[in-house]
Amino acid sequence: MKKTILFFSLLLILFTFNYSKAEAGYYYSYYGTVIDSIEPYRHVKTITPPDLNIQFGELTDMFIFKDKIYLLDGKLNRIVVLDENHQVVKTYPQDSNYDNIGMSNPKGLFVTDEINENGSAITYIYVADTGKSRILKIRENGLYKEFTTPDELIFQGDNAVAYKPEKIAVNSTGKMYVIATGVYEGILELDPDGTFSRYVGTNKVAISLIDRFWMLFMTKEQRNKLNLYLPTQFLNLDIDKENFVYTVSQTSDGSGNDMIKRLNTKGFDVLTRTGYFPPKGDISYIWWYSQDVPNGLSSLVDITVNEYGMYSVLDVKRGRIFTYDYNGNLLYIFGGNGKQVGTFSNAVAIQYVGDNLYVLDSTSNTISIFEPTHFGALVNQAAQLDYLGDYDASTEAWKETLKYNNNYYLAYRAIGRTNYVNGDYKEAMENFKLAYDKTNYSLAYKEYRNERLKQYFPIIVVLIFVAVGVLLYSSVRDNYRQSQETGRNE
Amino acid sequence: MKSKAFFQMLYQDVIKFPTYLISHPFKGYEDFKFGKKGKFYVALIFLILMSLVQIIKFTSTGFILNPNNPKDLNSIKIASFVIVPIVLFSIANWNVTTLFDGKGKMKEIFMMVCYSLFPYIIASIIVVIGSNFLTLEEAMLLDLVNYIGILGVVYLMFFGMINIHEYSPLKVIITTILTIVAIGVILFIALLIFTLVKQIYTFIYALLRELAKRY
Repeated sequence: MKKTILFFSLLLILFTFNYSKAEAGYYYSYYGTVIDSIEPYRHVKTITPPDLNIQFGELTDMFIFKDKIYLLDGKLNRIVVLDENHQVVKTYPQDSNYDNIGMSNPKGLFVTDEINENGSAITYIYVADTGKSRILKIRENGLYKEFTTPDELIFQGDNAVAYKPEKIAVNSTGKMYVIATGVYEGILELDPDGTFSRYVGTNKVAISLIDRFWMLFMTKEQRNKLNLYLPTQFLNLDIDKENFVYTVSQTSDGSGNDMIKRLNTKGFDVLTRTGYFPPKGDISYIWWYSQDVPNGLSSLVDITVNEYGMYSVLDVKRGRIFTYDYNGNLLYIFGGNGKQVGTFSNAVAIQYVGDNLYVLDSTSNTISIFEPTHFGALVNQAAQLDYLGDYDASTEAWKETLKYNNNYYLAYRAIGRTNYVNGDYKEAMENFKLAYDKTNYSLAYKEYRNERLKQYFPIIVVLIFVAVGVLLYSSVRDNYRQSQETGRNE
Repeated sequence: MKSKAFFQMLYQDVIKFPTYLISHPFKGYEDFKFGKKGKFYVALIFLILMSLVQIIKFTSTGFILNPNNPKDLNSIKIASFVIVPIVLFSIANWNVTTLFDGKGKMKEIFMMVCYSLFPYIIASIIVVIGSNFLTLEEAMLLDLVNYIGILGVVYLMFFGMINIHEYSPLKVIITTILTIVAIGVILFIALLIFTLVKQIYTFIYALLRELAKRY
């Protein structure tokens, strides 16, 4: 009787705990296999249309500037501004009769401020008005400027491409970077007055080996009938505080290694890729068709950079967010598609606000806010200290992260780095081994081997001398004996 | 005393004669074929050693130079990657050379290929040991050793084929190319048979099920 009571009470205790939400993340090992990790970010809030007492058609882009959230509605053709308390404060166009702003299917949004002659900052909203082939620059009280089709060859003549700006970013000098549909030459760079300056960051054209093989046997007419081999298009962009343009695009060669780029002012890709894998979202995935799970590479749709060189990319296919540090090391992965609160069905935009991440979902028209867990905050802190060059402090933070996640390679690497600098080569070797950092392991091993050699060098020299001496002695003795024997025989 | 003689014989057969083959390929292979110096058990030892060395290479190469995940170790797979190509080559080469007036028997071809592995086995042992004591910059040395081993294999096989089949060098090259083609044909036929057998199996299985359901 006692036992049954105990049993049922135990059952009761078991079921009273709430297992509703499993908080588990994952990470990639050195070999590209999935390993368990702790959840780096936690969903804290979702802003939904009913909360705001406003109706949305389809939100296509989001930008957060000075704690204000700017939302672009591509169906109702308006911009909605929320304040820091997530309440609607303004909409553009302000009244429906004011048709200067009258947009048509706008897709891209960017907000920045300029300092005018009086020394006060004025906030400007840039909108890529896709349907009306123009870019709008909107001020507090209404439309400020309108930039129509740029004066470029491909937009003129018989085979003119329709100018359809999709995404826009503006750097600190006021230059506009515009991604437009059907423009395969790269990102359009427009001067602050709207004149076309040049293309930056052209993607490469990749023709597969099989296609090349078949092309060998084709006549010129056949080849002309083929589909054009076009470079992949850029999908989205962001600008960091040093005016580097971060872009995401589809892969051009199937490997996915070129999906994320960091373009300098010359338009060259300068992204550092020193992690175990180049930044490209998911590393292991199924590549064959399946009804149950999405297959293939991540399809990255947005990128956001913070002031410490960390960037997060948003994968719409699986609804995941991947964060990398300025060296291209994968820091953590979180998020997922689904119907629950905190998951996405069609995530289209992501942005940093401090350390928090805001994700816009265009199907449900909601904004999900994620805040770092203790582990995530530690990783952020460590990555930021690394970026600033304060390696001692960052190593302390990395060490803390190991308490939450034993498999965290980056932490071992950081500890090994500190050991190496301090001259503890043996410990450095151990930590680099745990981190699978072969280059640094090799360096540490070199120093360690030199130490060992120095330590044993006298003994080795003495041993060599002894060996040579013994050999010499024995051969001389043999010779002597031989000569004596031959002498005796004579 | 008996064991001493045994070890002496082993030393003669496994180490001394293969080294002699490297330094005197023509005379060595003459002894190999007509002087009964080439022994089948030695060939098998080399084959097993080669498989073992490949497995050890997978697990025990130094950390810096080892790209393998220890969890992926499959010793049967590694061993079959050594044994199957050698057996295939022996069969294919015999097939081709009998048509081209080759004098070698299949057993001789197989033994010759196994004996040719000797330099690569030695090189692999050096690479495995060396990789545990060298840094990343010095790893080029090991690459060099590895290439020398491969070159040794090619060298021994080339002269082996000249002597065993009593061929001219040009004929050896031609028959080697044809051997590779023959390997392709053999693999194709093997695949065909495999799929056919599988289809027959599924057919009989379906038939039996049908019968079982009806009666």
